[in-house]
Formats: sequence, C-alpha cells, structure tokens
Amino acid sequence: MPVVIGAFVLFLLLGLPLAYAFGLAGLWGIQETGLSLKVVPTRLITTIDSMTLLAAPFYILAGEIMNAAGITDRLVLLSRRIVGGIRGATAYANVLASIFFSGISGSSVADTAALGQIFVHGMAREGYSRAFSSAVTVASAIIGPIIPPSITAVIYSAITGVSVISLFVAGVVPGLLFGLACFAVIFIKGRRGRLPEPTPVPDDGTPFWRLAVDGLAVLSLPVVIVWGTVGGVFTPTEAGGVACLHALLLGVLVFRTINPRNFWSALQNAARSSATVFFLVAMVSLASYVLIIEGIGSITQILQVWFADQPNRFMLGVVGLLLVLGMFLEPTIIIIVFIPLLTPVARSLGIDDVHFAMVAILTLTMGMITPPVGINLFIIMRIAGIGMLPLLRELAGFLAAEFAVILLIILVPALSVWLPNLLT
Amino acid sequence: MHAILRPLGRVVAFVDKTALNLAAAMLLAIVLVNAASIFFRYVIEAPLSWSEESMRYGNIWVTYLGAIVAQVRADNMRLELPYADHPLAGRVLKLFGALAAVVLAGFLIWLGTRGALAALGQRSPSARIPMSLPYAAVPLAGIGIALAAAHSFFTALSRADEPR
Repeated sequence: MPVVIGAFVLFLLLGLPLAYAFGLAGLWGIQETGLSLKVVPTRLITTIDSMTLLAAPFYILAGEIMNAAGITDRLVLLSRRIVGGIRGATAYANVLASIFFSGISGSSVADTAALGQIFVHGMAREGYSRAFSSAVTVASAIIGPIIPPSITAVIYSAITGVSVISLFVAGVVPGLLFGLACFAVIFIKGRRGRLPEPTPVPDDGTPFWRLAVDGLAVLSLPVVIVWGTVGGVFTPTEAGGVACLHALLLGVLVFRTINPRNFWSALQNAARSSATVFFLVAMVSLASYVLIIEGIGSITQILQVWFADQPNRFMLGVVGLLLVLGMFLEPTIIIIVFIPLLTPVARSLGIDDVHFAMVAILTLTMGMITPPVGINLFIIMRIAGIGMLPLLRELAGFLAAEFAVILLIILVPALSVWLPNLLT
Repeated sequence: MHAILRPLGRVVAFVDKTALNLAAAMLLAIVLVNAASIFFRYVIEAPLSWSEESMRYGNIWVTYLGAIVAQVRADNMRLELPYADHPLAGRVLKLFGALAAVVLAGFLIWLGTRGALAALGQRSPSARIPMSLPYAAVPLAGIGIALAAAHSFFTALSRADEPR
C-alpha cells in the first residue's frame, strides 16, 4: 500500500497527469506485491464497461449541443431580465444562470468555463471586482453536478449501486439551497454597500416572453430526464441518449442555431471530455485494485467501531475527510477509492444511502473550489487574470454559506430524501 | 533532431485527427443505437438484443481513442506546479512526463495485446461481438500515446517549443 501511495504522490509532484500517475503507481504496486499483471487488461476494460457509466457521455454531449446552440447567452440574458435592476443584480443573475445551466450540463467545470467567460468580464465592466465576479461564478457553478443531470451522480451510482434516478431527484433541493446560500452572501455584501450601483438591464430588443419560452425549452431537458426515468419510460442511460436528441431538436428546430459543423464539433468535444473521465476511471482502477488487495478495506471495520451509534459524528467526520481529500484529488477519484469504504459504515449506522450520497456529493463538489487543487479555481483565475489569494478572500463567504447548507442537510435528512421518496 | 521531429509531428497530427473523428463518429453511433433501442422496444415492441453490448463496447473505443487525443492535446487533468514555470525545471518535467507516458503506453501495448489475444475466440453473450474487439482498443491507444509522447520528448529535447 505505501508503494502505491508514495509512487502516486511522487508522480503527481513530477507533473504527470492524474490518470498516468494512478496507472503507473498501480502497475508499480502490482509488480511490487507480486500480483499477476494478467489482471491489468481485464480491469482496464471491465471498469468502464458499465451501462450506468454510459450515461455520462450522453449528458456531456447534451450539454455540448446546448452550448453549441448558443443557449448560454440566452440564459444569461433571461437571468438578468428576471433579476431586474436591484443592487447586485448581475451577481444574482450569475447564480440564477448557473441554476439554469446546471439543468443542461451536469458538470461544474463546463459551467465555470461557459459562464465565467461571460460574467467575469461583464461584471468587471459594471464595477464589480474581478475577484468577486470570479468567486460568484465558481461558487454557483458547483450547483452543476448537484441538480440533474449530474455526471458525478452517474459515477457515484456506478460505483456504489445506489439508484441514479434517486440521486438525480435528491439533488434538486440541495442544489437550490446552494443557490439560495449564494444569494444570501450577495445580499449581505449588497447591504454593506460593497457592491456597485445597479446598471440598466441590457436590452437587445428580444421580448421577455421569447426569452422565457427559450428558458422553458432549456429547462424541459432535466424535466424530460426526471419524468422519463421516474415514470419508468426509460433507464437513466437511455434518458441520457434522449437528452441528446432533445437538445439536438431544440438546437435545430427551436433555436435554429445547430448546423452539421457545430454539431460535429460538439460531438468531438463531448468525446474528448468523456474519454478524459473514463480513462481516469480505468487508470484509478489499477491503483485501487492493489489498495484493496493490500487490505485498505480494513479501514471500514475500524470506522464501524469508532463511530458505533454516532451517525451524525460519522457524517461530520466524512465531510471533514472528503473536504481534505477534495483539496487535492478530483471527485471521480475519491468516489472510486474512498466512497466504497465509507458506504458500508454509513449503512451499518442506519444512514439512508441517498442521504449519505448527497452529503458526499455536495462535499466533493466543494472540493472543486477549494485550494490548492480546486480545478475550477484554476479555470476562473485564467479567465479573470487574477491570483489565488484575492479570489479566496472573496470566496470565503460563499464557502462558509455552502458548508452551512451541508450541515443543514446532515441534520435534516428530509431535505435530500423527501423528494426521491415522494417520486420514486 | 529536426529530421525526426518534422515527420513525427505530421504522423502525430494525422493520428490525433483520425482518433478524434473516429471517437466522435463512435459517440454518434452510440446515440443512434440508443435511440433505435428505445424505438424498437416501445414502438415496434421488438427489443434489440445487441444494442446494450454494442453501446458499451463502443464507449470503450471512445475512451481509448480519446486517450490518444488527450495525450496529444494535454487534455488530461494534472496539478499546476509552481516550479514548472522555471525554465530548467519545466524542461526536465516535460522530458520526464514524456518518458513516463512512453512507459505507460508500453504497458498498454504489451498487456493490452495479451488481453486481446486471450479473448480470441470468445464472443459477447447477446450481440456475439468478438471479445478481442473491445480489448484491441487498449494496445491501439498505447501506440497512439507512445507516438505523441515521443514527439513531446523530442520537442522538449530540441527546445523546439521554446520562444527563440
């Protein structure tokens, strides 16, 4: 076990991509522990040969098609018109656009990149600091993997066997609560006079009803996914394919912006993004194989003894552990390596699978915006041209508010399990 | 050095473009098979027995073709190291990264070929797809990654990527 962990850290510090660091550390561990290399090709294929995981490329493609159709600009304009001319309007609109966007993308990286390009420069022109604009963008972009569809939920379901339909539905209320938490931070900043005076709402001549129809058309995507899967019309994976066709029909017939050229480009982008995630999953499986053989599973028994009859203390411990791991590792890796160790402990303490999954997913998404390795921080820093420290100063309030939401969801399980229990 | 670098660069550009277009075409095929599967089950009421396996194996090909593209275009996630900006350290890291990618690619070629050969004669339960087909994606990705990594190595060695 120390060989795999040590080699992985060394390779990371030598600048190797995460997938290569895991792959090479796993191969080293297999050699070192005398295991057979025959298992390698099987693991490289069977780990990603999953019908549940197949939903991920579909949802990535649906988001890419929507993006290619120019939906992002429309959503931004609609959000700005809904919010109106109050103080901090563009910041609120940023959060609202993230909530809308989360219904089509399922990935916080996509949300940060797409909305960051528009809002960071746009808000700077209205007098907001680049650091604050960036903080609002990344803090709200993590709603993407919470509200359905969610790539993180698909991977979580494939690894743990928890129903992906339940995870999709369970994400709605916590996702909206994250949005409300961001609104609260902006409101407090506005009350303290730290936000610029409101500027006139941009008007490109498009009537509000037209924007509202476009917005409803976009929001119909998650509705179709949830309705179709909950109603048993199609499986979550098939729903992903339906989402692609739905996005394509909207792009061709409603928005009339999709042509063969940008559709092919969307396919290429989706194939690249999806391959990056799946290749990482395959490589992590080599390292996790050695860790399992070497007895990492004994941690589960130790945790069961430590946290016997103390579910809330266990949940707080999990949040702390995942926050620390999330500072250094990508959520996919944590889900593959650590969640299978923690899930049996949660079950033994009587914690609902969906409740535990939502707390884990919410905490893991926060890892995308915590230093030193929050990938969304790097994306937004590049877009805004700012350093880490000013960004973190502005982000601290949002992180605290979102952490408070996680605590609330731990204490009130109904916030995450009520809707799936009602619908599924 | 340039005698190797230029033709290798052309080969890598061709491999990158081909792998990306094949991966995109494969993804499109998966979406269409998925749509056909739903249509045949609900409208024609004659479910397609081969759809699920073909989609899963198609996705394995998308993954490993995409892994070649990710190596060429540096799409894979990595840590942003503060010392990577130093000219000498940056060059050493690039050389090490390329060598490590060649080593990993070597394992993919060797073990992937062994896996594909071991699966010869086996067929999937429903679609009767030869099982060496999904396994063949692994060594093929290894070859593509090795070519791209060799190009990165020679580029870093000859300092062709540094501003003059």
